[in-house]
Amino acid sequence: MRKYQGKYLAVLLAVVCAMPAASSMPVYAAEAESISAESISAETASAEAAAAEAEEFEEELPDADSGAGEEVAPPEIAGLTYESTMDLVYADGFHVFYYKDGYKLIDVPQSGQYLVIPEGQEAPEGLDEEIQRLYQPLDSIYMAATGVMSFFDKLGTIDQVSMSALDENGWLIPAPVAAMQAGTMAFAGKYSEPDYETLVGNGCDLALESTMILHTPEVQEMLMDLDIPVFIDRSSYEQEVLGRAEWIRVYGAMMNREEAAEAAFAEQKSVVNALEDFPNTGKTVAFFSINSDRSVVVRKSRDIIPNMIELAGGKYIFEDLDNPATKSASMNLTMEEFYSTAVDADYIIYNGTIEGALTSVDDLLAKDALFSEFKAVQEGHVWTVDRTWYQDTANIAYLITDMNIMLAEADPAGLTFMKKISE
Amino acid sequence: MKKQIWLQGAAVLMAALILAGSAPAQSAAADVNNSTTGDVAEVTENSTELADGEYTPDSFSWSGGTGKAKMSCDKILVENGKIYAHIIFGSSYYQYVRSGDEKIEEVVHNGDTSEFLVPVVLNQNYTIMALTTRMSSPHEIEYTIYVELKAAAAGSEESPGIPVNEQYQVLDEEAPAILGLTWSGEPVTTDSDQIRMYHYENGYTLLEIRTTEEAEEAPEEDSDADASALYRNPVLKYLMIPENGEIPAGVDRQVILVQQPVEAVAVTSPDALNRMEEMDLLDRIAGVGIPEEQIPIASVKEAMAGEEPEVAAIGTYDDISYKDLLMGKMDLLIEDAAILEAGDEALYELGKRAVQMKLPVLVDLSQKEQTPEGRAAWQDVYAEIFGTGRIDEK
Repeated sequence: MRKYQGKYLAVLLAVVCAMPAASSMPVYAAEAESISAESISAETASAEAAAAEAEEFEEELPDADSGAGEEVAPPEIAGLTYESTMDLVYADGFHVFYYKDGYKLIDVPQSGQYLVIPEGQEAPEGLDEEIQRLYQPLDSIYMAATGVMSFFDKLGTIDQVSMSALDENGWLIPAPVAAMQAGTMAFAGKYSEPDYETLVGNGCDLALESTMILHTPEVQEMLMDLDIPVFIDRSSYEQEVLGRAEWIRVYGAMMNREEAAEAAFAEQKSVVNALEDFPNTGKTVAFFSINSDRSVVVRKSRDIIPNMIELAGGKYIFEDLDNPATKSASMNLTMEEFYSTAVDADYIIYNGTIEGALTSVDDLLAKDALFSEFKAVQEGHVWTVDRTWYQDTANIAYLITDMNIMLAEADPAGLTFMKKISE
Repeated sequence: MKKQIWLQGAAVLMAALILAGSAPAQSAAADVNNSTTGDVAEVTENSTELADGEYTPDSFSWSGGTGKAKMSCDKILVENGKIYAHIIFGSSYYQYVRSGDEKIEEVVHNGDTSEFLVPVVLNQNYTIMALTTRMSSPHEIEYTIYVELKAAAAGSEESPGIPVNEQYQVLDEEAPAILGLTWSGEPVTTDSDQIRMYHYENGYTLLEIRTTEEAEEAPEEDSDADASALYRNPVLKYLMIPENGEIPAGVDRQVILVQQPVEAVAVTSPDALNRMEEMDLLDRIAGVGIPEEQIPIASVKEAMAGEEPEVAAIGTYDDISYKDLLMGKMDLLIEDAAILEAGDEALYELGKRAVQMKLPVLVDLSQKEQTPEGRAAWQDVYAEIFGTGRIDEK
């Protein structure tokens, strides 16, 4: 497993770029808040709403030895001449191989292989049937992988996404909302129940799915029966924040926007690298939400959030939290279990849920009076994060910046997703 | 038969009249065990004339979400004239339920279940929202439920038959009970031993088609089965829904729904083509899945020719192009009887895709009819589907 600490010291340029990049970062938080908690909770047509009910999770932790991330020899494809391999930095879940004349093979070990075929070209004769064909230009995409939309936004290819599995109310990032309002992007049914008539009618040339599709195999089969290739994104399985961010390079290759992808990825790297010299404060952080039955949802220790807290210069309060019974990235604790450890946390971050981000410490106390005994509450270190970050994968590194601002007690003007709620 | 039913109706009416003059809260109407005793007031709100107490629903069904959830209702409570259903979700991850303006946060988590007392309206589709945390972030899911309590329903003619989802092995010989629908009282009339049609009030019709000569053993119950499992049954049951007609929650898992009007039909059966020609229905044909040389009607062949044909070629009965069905926005596929011979699961496999496309598949078995009357009975079926009169009535 590659580690970024110390590895990219040489990329000073990126570090220098970090600050202007951060300040020009669009502030989604404000816009997200304009969607009231009520309208979010009334929203039901979202893909995740359906997914929530399924017996599985979108955010899962990978198996210990998924076999990913190793050097892989370029597949030999009769009729194509291999040229180069994308040099990956952090991501474990994919490979991109370049062939002559603009052909590219995207290999997502646990999803499948996809041959990107340049406009006007054909698949080479005798190509393995298992390899799905992506014919450029891919300009009628059905986006059912929520976290991937922000990548397309960053790449400037959102106009090629003509269909969405979330409706307008389901999106918390502005670009798809604007596209849907403008009528250039249509709601085409949630991932588990696409409106096939809309897909076929719009000449859908790619269905971009999250791993949730694996729980509805009949949908995947149907899409393939309709000659619609199904690409399954696995960025949420990357446990390092920059591994997740690096997935923009897959889509850069797919959409012939490699340069834009490199730039966006460099920006995310620079955000992380900018914090490299920030000493670890040793301050402990809890990241959680509360169910109405008082149980507390926390992240497992081996998750991306603890990773981000670490990078921000803090320490996740739960050192060894796991529940082998579930692959989910999160798990439930009783309030008492949570209390016994988190009561001493220097900072607590409430993960804004469907019931809305917290607006005051009183909101928190209303959920459970025990919070009044928490160190973070007493010291005025209560924070909240809105839901936007779930969808804004392309800007995920800014959550680290936010956490760092929290820990360093720096200028809150630079915050993107988080907000301090205690005085 | 008819007379007996009328008498039952009269009894209900009389009971209701007696009730109207008595103190409702304490009246005998509360005796749910006496199913012929009903409340005269049609319940349209979450209040009732039923006496406070506990009742057992006559039936419960629901739809919504991915269809993979489990939900049941084992009792109804009436408290101060307000109706609550005890709803049990088959997962411990439900946190609250919304019903109208109310948010019910009081939940009992019992092992693998979440139980709520939810204010509901009886005997009609009713929408609730439930929040589940079975994912990285919680989400509300909309469900439509139908809690049936006959004691709270306005007096209506009861179907003489068993519930429509109780058996699929043989044809129903009496009008089955369908949630939310009232039997018209019209007895079945058919000259075919393969089909039955029953009429319900407000223009709903149930069509049953028997696909096997002999009743097979019942397939194993699969509570997770979705609507496509209906295509595995020896008897295919179709409910024709009139234009703008409401679909009672959960009925989609009990019968195959045919939404009227049916205006763009795909046909893989030459018999069906001939019948549609006889009945002057060729203009409803949008797709044909019959090899060209076997198409019996010249005008259909012509409509399929050219650069932009009016009628699409959709493959063959055992190899249908779903893409063409979708492109043509077809609303019914009439399959040739040969699909039943194409392998044990051929119809089911087709049915799975059809359910995904929200396209009902009807199998035309008229060629198996032994008598002219039997074949003529299929004209009644088509007249019902397409909303036209029978030819002898024209």
